[in-house]
Amino acid sequence: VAAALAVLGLAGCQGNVTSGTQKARSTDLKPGAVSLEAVPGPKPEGRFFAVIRSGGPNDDQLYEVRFTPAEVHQLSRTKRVSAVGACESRVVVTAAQEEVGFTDHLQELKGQDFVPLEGLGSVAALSPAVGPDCRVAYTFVDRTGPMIAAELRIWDPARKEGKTLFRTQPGDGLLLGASWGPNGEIAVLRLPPEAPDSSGGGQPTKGRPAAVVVVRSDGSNSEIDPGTPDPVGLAWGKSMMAIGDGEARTILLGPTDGKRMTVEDWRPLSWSPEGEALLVKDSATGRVIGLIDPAAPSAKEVGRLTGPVFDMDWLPA
Amino acid sequence: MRRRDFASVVLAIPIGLGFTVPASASDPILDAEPVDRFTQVVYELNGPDSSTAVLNVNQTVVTPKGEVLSKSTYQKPAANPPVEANQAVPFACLNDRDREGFQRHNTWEMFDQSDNEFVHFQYFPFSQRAARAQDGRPSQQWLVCATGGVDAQNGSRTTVSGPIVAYKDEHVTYKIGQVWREGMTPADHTVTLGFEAGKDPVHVNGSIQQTATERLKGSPLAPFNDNRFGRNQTAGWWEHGCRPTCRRWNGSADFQGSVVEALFEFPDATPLDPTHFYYSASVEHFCANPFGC
Repeated sequence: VAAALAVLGLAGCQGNVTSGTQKARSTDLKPGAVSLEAVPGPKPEGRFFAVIRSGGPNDDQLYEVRFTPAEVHQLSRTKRVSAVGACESRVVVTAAQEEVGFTDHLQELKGQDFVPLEGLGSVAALSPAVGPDCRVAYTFVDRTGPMIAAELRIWDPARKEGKTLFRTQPGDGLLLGASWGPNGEIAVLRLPPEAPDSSGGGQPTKGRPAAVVVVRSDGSNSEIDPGTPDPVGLAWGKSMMAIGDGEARTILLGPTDGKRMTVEDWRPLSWSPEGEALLVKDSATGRVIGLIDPAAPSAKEVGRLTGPVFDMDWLPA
Repeated sequence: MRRRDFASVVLAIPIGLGFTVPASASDPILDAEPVDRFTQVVYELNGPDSSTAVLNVNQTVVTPKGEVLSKSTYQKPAANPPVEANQAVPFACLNDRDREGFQRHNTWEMFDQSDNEFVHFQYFPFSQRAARAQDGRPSQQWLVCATGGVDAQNGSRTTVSGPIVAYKDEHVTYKIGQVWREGMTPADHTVTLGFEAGKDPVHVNGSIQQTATERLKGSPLAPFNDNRFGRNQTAGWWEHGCRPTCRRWNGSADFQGSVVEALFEFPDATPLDPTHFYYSASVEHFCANPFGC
């Protein structure tokens, strides 16, 4: 059965990504070392691709989670998975397994294995985000110049075309947390610049402070104050952005009207496919999953994982 | 005549003053008394930097069965006296390229010269930013390469010699990769780990030249060390196959050692510098001179 499902999954990944008729499928590798305890009350519907830690820091793996019924299935044995993004026909990760030199590389789930994206090849990349049309946004660190520069890039797997949408200025911090907007925009967090005496030892402090950089489909870009000097995650929903910060809370930000709300003790994971409900995790353990309705911003617990979750992408059922 | 029979006849030929050695006689080499004690030494560098660090030397004299006969400890400035050019042996860790975000930190040197053992190891820390990003945070990676060994003199013979590197944390694992050489000792060898991010990865090549004899080994756990940092540790060493029952012509009077590399990963915000890492070496030797060394 597992082999048959693996074949189905592979076929789905090779199909026409714009048809919407084929779906990325879990391979039912095994239930895995992670489990989900459901709690009473309404549950989010859909499929959830997640990076969850089952043991030590090298045991972060890709799972598919469902809340109704509560299920967790390991999708690959590959460890050191960092982040995940998915559309109906593709599951894209950044993973830093030994085969790619322990550093994050953009890869795609084929069967139970991670392989470079066809046509793009092996790319050291961070923060993948997969849009509804399966285009992949990611950030890239350019180390070839006199100072590190970060880029927001996009890859279209159907056309096998890619381009750079945004590049930081000298002294700026890294770009992380790429997220697709409701109208084809892409937002990304520009982190604060690194202190000169930090262990990495590289960057001066003259760079600009943290910001949300929004790149529109026409190529223009603008910046938004994230409401925190230390942003650690970004997810863009139908009408609001959710930004995690170092103070262990979620900032809900209206990119057009400037409206701001704060939800303490939770960090954002993923908006629902319609962008109207926000899945979050508790800041203390990363194991408690909650749901936030932006109209009444408080989190309701929907389940408890046995290991901390580091990233999650919510797809329709 | 078969070869075995011929050999018996040859060995039975009278030699010298009518003295004969029958083929069945016991082998004087194999019958020699085994060495009855070894000195096992753990060297550790401690201090704010290599030039002002203190070298702690913990020596334990043991029997071949591991019974402890005595213990002693001494300290000395790590870099005093400085290594002269003609004392230096050809070993080093070098990166094959430089690039932004990659940093080569100062080398830590372990040097201890006595009448009987010339001990020289070097430790090379490197770091790189933004190797990975998880949970909204970038990570930093540190690679520590160590190489060196021991040259025994004046009747002393080495049976174990190799460097140890670790991150000084007993409770959380930060080590993500390690490399050492196993097997028969070549005349020279290199191990390589690297920072792979980007199309032009940085590789750190640790190398050593030594006399090709006996074997190289490696493990997260080092010989003679208390291995308190074992979960974050990597050790590689040269070892003579005679252990634990060695005779006085076993061991090595040549320069012998090994080379190791370990790769660690931390959140980018973790304040780290080379003093957070553990630089150590394991050495075992014995005195082959019946009148003492």
